[in-house]
Amino acid sequence: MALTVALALLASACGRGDSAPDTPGFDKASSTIRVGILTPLSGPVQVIGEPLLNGFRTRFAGINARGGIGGKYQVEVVAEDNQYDVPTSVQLYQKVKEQVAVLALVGTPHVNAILPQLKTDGVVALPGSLDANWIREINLLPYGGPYQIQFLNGANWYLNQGGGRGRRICAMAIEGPYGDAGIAGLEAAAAAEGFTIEATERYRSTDTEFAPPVGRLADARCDAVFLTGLPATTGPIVGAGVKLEFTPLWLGQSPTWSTALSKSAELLPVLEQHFLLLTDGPEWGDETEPAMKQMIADIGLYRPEQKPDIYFQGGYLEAMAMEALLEKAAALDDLSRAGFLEAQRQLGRVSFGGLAGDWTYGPPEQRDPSRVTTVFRPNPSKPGGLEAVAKNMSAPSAQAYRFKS
Amino acid sequence: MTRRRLVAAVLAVAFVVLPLAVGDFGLSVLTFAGIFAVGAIGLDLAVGHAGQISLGHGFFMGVGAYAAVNLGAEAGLGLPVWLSGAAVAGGALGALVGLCALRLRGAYLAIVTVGVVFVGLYVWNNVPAISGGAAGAGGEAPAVLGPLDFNHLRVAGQSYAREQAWFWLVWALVAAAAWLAANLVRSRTGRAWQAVHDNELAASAVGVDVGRAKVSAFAVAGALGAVAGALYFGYVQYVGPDEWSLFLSVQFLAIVIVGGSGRLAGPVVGAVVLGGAPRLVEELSPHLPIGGLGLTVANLNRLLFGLLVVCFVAYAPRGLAGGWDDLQRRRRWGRRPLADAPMVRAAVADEPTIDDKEQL
Repeated sequence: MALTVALALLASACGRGDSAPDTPGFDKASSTIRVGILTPLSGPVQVIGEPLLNGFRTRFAGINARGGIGGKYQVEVVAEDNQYDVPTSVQLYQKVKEQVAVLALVGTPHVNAILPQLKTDGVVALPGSLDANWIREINLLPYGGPYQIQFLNGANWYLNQGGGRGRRICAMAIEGPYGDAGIAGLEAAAAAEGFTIEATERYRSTDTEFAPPVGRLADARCDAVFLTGLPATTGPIVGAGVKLEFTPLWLGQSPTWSTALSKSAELLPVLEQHFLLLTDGPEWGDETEPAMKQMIADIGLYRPEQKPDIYFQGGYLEAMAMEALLEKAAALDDLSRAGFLEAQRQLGRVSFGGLAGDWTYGPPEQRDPSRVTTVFRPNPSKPGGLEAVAKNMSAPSAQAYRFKS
Repeated sequence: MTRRRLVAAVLAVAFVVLPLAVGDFGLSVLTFAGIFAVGAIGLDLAVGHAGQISLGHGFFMGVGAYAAVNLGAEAGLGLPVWLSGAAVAGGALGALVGLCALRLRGAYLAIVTVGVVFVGLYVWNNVPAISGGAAGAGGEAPAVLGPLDFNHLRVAGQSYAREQAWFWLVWALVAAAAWLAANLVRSRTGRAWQAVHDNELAASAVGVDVGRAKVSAFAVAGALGAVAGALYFGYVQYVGPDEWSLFLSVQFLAIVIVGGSGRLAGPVVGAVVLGGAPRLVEELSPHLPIGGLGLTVANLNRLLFGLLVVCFVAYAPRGLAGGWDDLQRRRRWGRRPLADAPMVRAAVADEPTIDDKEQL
């Protein structure tokens, strides 16, 4: 009985609520802001997570060397391996939430799982995903062209410059919100450009046999297939088509590509002729774009061993978005969680220096994402294995596209 | 104070003090361990006590999670409703799977339970009305129990972090599940399970309704697995279909094996060890020479997981809880020949037979 009473008294004296330090992640004494990133550094998605982290770190290394945020705050990156496992992500969020000012996340399910806690804790995070669902979430700071925009621009390019008028257009998409976003973009393009989607096939991320769905696309006599998927499945899907003597033009969303594809002796000849990648930014090393020029300079100084990699570029871009938020919060002289939310509301238009299209931030209902996409063709003679066919294009249908409120 | 009361007092102190002394990260790890412990207690009743192999426990966890989505987050019904709704749904589906156990055993039964996982994955991915489809489902399931709201806990003017509140809720339910399991094992049903576990033919010969025992074991296992899934959703507030994979079911079985099957404490110890060890290795990794071995921390954890399971099955099939019991017996019996001790004789009788190992 006495034990019970003592324990009850102890418990009543030690509640900590959901309160946090005033400025978690900010050390005034050393003028250091700590930022976190939860990314897969092991397992099957390591191929994305590791270069992304390297790009993220490289950008902040450059920022620190150039004087830091607001010319006075150094940035320290706290990275954790979420292994692309949702419970691990949730636990790691609890681990880093009091250590960092702002957080970057990788993976749509992981953002979904952590978002309720972000709202409770008032934390701002950057979702490493181009899912348009994030646009209206005040706790999230998306960047880059959403998946819908990639297909709207891609369809417009195919019809007007790729000889696609009158051709049979189809879709193949992975199950889940990412695939849904791709399908939504292609349906919007069909409505705006006046074509019909002749066939649509879905598959699961764990599928390894693609002959049946690809065979059905062949039966539908598709001339072009808009592909929403992951790097690991692009080769097997295109390869399944080759075995069936079905070689349409594949137009892939940004995550369908991996630099490893440009090194496949078997697939590369097919990809060079029958694959186009729809993503953000210029060719690797195109220094006519100021952000690419800066990235190449930063690589030379801080990560000379880095090879061309679109996910490195994605991490660098993610750090640019975070930098804009940190700069705004520093300008407002409020590095608290409430300060970052306010900075997000006041951020306005942010330029990504040609590495991706500009974004207009602000209150969720006023946010306007990037509307530009670059069409790439595999070309092994180019750094990164990609040649820009149409750089930073923005179709009228993409500009007119309305995202859900 | 008896030893049992001392253990209970230590656990009570830990229950109250841990959320006050441990940070949110540690509490999150322990809360996940508690959720898995609830499910593993259920699986152990089927595997450890009734001798029925199941590789489909992840399916029941999914059933419970989506029951919580629909009854809690969508319909806004209270914690007792969505938890008991999950238990009823899991129990009913568990009983259905149990019907298969009437005709099958060993590897054939294992394959049927694997099939259940894949049926579940199809439903979770393709029936959005139940699961939200491949996009998953999110929302806040009300967690109010009397005057306590575990999502926003406030007691006597003192507010508590969600991690603290959910630790208390989950571990209170671990205690409830363990109490339920202990009583079931001692009941007529539990004795029937043990008889079926030891020898189906002999059990039948002495009047045990073997079919009823098997179906009830799967039903209780399914119900507790579903409660674990409901707690998972209540805590994380989001679930996607890929979380209920075959690997999850394998993890449950590993928890039971490492903790010690057929022992009340086994699944709880297994859940804490297998849930906490990866995070512990991560914390210690700066001091470990894993880089020189060409390993990442996550890969080291996977390697350790596999080695643990292999070592326990091969060399310590009674698991950690069984090993602890052995140590206690040795301590109490001192230098006297262990084989003479009645308790050791009983333990030897409990030692899994070759058939049992094959089933595992």
